[in-house]
Amino acid sequence: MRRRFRHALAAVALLAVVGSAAVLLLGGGSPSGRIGLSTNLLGSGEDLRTQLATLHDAGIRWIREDSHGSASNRSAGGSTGAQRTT
Amino acid sequence: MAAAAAEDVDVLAIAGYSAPWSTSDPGGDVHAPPRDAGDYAAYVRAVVERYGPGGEFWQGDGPERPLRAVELWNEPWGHFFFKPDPDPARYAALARAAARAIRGAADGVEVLVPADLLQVRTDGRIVPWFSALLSADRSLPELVDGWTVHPYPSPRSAPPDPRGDSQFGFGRVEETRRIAVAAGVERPIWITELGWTTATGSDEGVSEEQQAAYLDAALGRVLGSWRDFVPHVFVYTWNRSTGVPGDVEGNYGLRRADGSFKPAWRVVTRRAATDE
Repeated sequence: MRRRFRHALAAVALLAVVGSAAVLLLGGGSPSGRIGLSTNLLGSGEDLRTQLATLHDAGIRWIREDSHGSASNRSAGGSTGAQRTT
Repeated sequence: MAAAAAEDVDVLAIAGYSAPWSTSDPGGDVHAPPRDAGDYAAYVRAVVERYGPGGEFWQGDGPERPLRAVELWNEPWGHFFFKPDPDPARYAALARAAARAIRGAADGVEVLVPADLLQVRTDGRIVPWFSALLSADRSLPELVDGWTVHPYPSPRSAPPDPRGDSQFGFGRVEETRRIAVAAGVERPIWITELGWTTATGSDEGVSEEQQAAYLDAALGRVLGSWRDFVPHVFVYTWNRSTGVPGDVEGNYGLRRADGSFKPAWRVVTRRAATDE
């Protein structure tokens, strides 16, 4: 009986470990409202709903949709990181 | 907006730029302020009335997730997005008109105003942005719910805690806060862009492993010691990288050109999953 209990306990612990690892591997888990992503979903040419589902599953709850922020638009000015220009 | 609502994702709206018919640029470039601030305010009001709380967009079936925040313009401190050059007084007039329009259109929409330390000018002069903005319109902060910053380090390949001049490092977020506190206009600071490029063919690029490590350190600081005053951070960017080694702007992505994830994606998702 005690051995069976120990086996059950070990199985539960193993499941917990595997589950936690899966969450980390898949990038899932409880969502954070603090971390968001800059996106250009509408201009990406990729399926909108698929992208949003991926972000949701990864725990992302905020996006900053930046259709003008593409590499081509920024290449002339070099806006990112250009606080020092001399 | 409907697709984002269906996935429980909030959209931070960037209200920009000018419309081709309204821009002050003689050549019609929309990355210049409009001739009339009222045109910009009308545009922002229309967006909030449609997509904000109680907006007409949400009157039908389906999940509702109205706009909760609007950032007024993107990087008005840079000549590339506020042509011909950044102009704190002119931007303040735009922001004031737009903020009042938002207030009149809906409750519950936060007004966010860019508050980076410095301007990026065509003449290369290093001139303050945030303090100049505050001087240009001392009562503007009464209409502002949050400041935004893009603390990319300079040089861009610098780690998040570089030694040296704090004006040019990731840590300059604290300087924006110090200025706000000193002026009595402390607000939450949203980091609406942050990232490192993996353009390894450029001196400004870092390796994918460095990108992951730097983001991890930066996010750790945001979620740790800056937790009380930084409510949100947006990593630049979900977009796929071009994969062209010398393309600095095109390799900030968390994904490679083929859509596979860089190591930094794992960092972001782990931080998002474990932050409470």
